[in-house]
Amino acid sequence: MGWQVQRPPPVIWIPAFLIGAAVILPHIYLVLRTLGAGGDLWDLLFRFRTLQVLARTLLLIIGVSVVSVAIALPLAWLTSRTDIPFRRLWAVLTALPLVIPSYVAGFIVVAALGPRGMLQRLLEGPFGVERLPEIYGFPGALLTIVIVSYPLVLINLQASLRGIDPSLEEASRSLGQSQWSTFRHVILPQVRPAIASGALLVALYTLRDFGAVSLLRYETFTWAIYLQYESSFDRTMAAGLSMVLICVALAILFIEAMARGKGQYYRSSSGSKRPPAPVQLGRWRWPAFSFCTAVILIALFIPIAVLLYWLIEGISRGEPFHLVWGLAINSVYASVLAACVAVLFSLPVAVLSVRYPGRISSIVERSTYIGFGLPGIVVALALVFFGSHYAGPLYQTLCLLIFAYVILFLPQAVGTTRSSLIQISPRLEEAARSLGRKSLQILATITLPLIRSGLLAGAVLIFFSTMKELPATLILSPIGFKTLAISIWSATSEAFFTRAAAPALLLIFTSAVSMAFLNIREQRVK
Amino acid sequence: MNTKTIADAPPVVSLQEVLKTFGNTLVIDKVSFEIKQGEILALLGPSGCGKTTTLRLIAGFEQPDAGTICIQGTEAASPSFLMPPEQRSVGMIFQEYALFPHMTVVENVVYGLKGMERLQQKKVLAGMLELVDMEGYEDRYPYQLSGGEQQRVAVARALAPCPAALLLDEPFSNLDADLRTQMRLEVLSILRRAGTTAILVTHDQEEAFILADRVGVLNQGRLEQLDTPEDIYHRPQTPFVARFVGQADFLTAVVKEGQVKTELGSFSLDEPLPHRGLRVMIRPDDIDFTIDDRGEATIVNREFLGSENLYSIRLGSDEMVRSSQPSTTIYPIDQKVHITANLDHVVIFPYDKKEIEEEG
Repeated sequence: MGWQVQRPPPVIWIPAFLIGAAVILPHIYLVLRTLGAGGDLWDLLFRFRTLQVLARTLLLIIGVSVVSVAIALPLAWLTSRTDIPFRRLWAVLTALPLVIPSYVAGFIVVAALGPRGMLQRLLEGPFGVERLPEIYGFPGALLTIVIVSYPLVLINLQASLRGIDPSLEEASRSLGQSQWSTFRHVILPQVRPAIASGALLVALYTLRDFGAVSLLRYETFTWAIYLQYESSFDRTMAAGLSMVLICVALAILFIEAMARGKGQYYRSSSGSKRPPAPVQLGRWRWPAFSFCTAVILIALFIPIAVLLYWLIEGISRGEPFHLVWGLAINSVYASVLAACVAVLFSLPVAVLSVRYPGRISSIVERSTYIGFGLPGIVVALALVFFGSHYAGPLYQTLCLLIFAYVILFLPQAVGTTRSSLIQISPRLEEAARSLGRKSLQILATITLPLIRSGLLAGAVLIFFSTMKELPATLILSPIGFKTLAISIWSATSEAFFTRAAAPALLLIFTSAVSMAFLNIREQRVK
Repeated sequence: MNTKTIADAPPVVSLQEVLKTFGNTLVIDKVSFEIKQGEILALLGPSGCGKTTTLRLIAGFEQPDAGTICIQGTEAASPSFLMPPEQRSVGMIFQEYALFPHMTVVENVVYGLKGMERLQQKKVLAGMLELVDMEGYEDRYPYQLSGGEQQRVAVARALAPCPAALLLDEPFSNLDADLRTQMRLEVLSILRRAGTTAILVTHDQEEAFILADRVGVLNQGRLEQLDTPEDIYHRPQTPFVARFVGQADFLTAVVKEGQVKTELGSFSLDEPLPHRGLRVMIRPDDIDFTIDDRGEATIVNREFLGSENLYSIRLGSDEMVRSSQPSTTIYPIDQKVHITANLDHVVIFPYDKKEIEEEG
C-alpha cells in the first residue's frame, strides 16, 4: 500500500529545486536564444553544409553500429556458449577496449597509421614508403570508434546469451533441428533485443563522441559545432547545430527506451539455473580462436604496443615527463571537486524523489538527468552562452567547468544515491521521528551514516568519468588550466605523438581501475 | 491491573470521526475511540482494513482528511493541523523493528533520550535493559541479535523516552510460531510492569485476545465493534465480527409468538424484536450430531485440525453449519446425521439481504 506522502521539509526541497533549476536553465537559454535568432537560423539549418554534417553523422552511426554488431555477435557467442580454448580469458579480454577513452583511441590510430606515424616510420627504412593511404576521415573515425564501442554490444549480448534457458536449445535439438538452425531460429530471435539495445548504445556513443571524430577530422555534429564555435564570433550557427544534435540524440534515446521495453517482453523465464552445455566447435575451433586473437590484437594489444612505442621513443628523445604530473594534478583536482559537488547536489534530489515521490519531485529528478541525453559539447556551449551573459565573473573560471562536469555526471550521482537510499527502510527514519528527532538530525544521525558507502561509490565513479571528459574541458577550462585529456588531444592534433603517450597510458590506467571498481561493486550488490 | 483504575483515568489518545483517503480509496471511515491510561487496546482486522493506517495517523506519519486526534487532551491532528511525530510523545514499534543497523543496542536505546543529562540517561538505559532482560548485550549490533532479542531492544528503545502511548504494528508477525507465543507473553508482561498505554495492530484474533484489555475490530475502514475480548467473541455486533473472531455459521430464522424458530430448534427472546426475519449465528462447538441414516442432514466435508475434526454439514434446507468433534473418531462423508444444537450462546442479527449477497 502506498502511504500518502507528507510535504518535504524546506531543507530538502529548496536545494533540490535550486539544483534542478540550475541544471536546466542554461539549456533552456540555449534553446531560446537559438530560436530567437529567427530567419537566419532556419537559413543556416537548411544550408547544404548542415545537411552534409547530418548525413556524415548518420553514416558514421550506421557504419559503427553495423561493424560493432558484426564483430560482437560472433565474439559473444564464442565466449559464452562454445568450447573455444581459453574461453574465460577471451570473455574478459574482448570487453577490455571499453576502458580506452575515444580520444586516446584516436591518438593511437593517428599515431600508428597517420602520416609520420609508427607504421609509416617502420616501413620507411626497408621499403622507402613515404605515404600511407589516408587515415583521416570516415575509415579512421569508423575504426577508432568501433575499437572502443563494440564491447558495449558484446557485454549486452553475453548477458543475454547467458540468460537464455538452455532447455529451449535442447528442445529445438530434440525436435530434429541442427545446431545452425537452432542458432538461427531459437537463439538469434531471443538475443535480437540485446543486439538492438547494444547497437543503440553504440549509436549514442558515436553521436556524442567528440575525441575520435575531431582527431580523425571527420566532420560530424560535435566536431562541426566545435569548429564553428572556435572560428566565429557569432555562435548562433554552433547553437543551431547543437539543436539538431539534441534532436538526433533524443530520437536515439527514445528508440532505445522503446527497445528496452520490448526486451522485457522477450526475456525468458528463469526456470532453471543449469548452465548450458558448451557447443562443440570441432574443426571450427582454431578458426574461431584466430578470429578472437585478431580482434584482441587490433583492439587491445596493438594499441598498447603503439602507446609503448611512442613512450619509449619519447624517453629516448628526452621528452620532459615531469610535465605530466602537473597535468595529472590538475585533472585530479578538477575531478575531486566535481565528484564532491555532484554527490552533494545529488543528496536533496535523491531524498526528494525517494522519500517524497510525486509529480513535482519527479520533474526535479528528471531535470537533473539532462546530462544523460546531452553530448558534453552541447552542455559546454550552453554554459558558455549562459555564463557569458548572466554569470560574467564565473565565465572562464574553474567554477563553470566544475558545474559543467556536475551537469554531465549528476545523473550517475543521483542514480547511486537513489539506489542506496531505496535500500534504507523509511521505517528507520520514522522510528527516529517517533523518538523525538527532527528531520535534519535524522539526516545526520541515521540516513547519512547508512548511505555513506553508496555516496562514496558514486563519488569515485564520477571522479573517473571526470578524469576522462574531453569536450567540456576543452571549451570551459580556464586559460592555462591543462588536464591530461586536453594535453592528449592537443598533442595528437599537432602530431606530437611522444608527448601524448604518457598521459594516454595514465588515463587508460585510471579508466581500467574505474571499470574494475564498478564491476566489483556490481557483483557485491548482486 | 484492576478494571476500576482503568475506567477512572483520563483518555491518553482519542480519535473523533477520523476519516482518511488515499487517492480515491476510503481507508479510514469515521473511526472514533479512546484509550485510557494503562490500557492495552488491539485493533484487529484483515489486511487492508485500515488498522496500520490508524496507527500511523496516531503516530503523526499521516494526516486525517476529517476528524481530530487528541493526545493527552491536546489536539494533535486535524485536516488543518498536524503536530509533527517528534512532538507527540508517542512511541512506535514497527513490524520489522526498524532498529538502526549502524548503532549498538545502547546507541539505539539512548537515541530518543536526547537532551537528557548523561547520568540520567545511564539510569534510564540500565532500567530499560533490565526491563527487557537484555543486560550484557549493550555493545551488540542489531545484526548480531536474534529476532526476539531485536524485538526486546525495539521495545526498550520505544519505552526509554517514557512515551504517553506506545504503538505496536504487527509486532510479532516476523517471528516464527514458537517464539511468537513466548514473545507475546514477554512483551505483555513488560508493558504491564511499565504500566504502558498501548495500541496494538494485528490480524491475529488470538493475539488480540491474549494481549488486549479491549479489542476493536476494523473492516474496510470502519470500526465495527470495540469491546472486551469476551464480548467480541460471545456478543459480536455484526456478522463480520462474528466470522472474523472464530468459526461462525448463520441460520435464517423467523420470529413467531415471541419464539425464534430455526431449522435446528427454537428459543425464546428476552425482549421483543422489531424484525421478522433474522439470522442466527452459531459456533461449531455448539453443534453436535449423531449418526442417523434417516437424518435430515448430510456430512459434506471433514477438515482435520489436529486436536479436532471440523465437519461441514448440509441441512435439509441446504443451509450449511459446521460442527467440531474430537479428532479420534472419524465419520464418513455423505453420512446422514441428526443434529442437536445448543442454542444458549447464539447471537441474533437482523436479516440483511444486501449483506448476505456481499458475502456471496
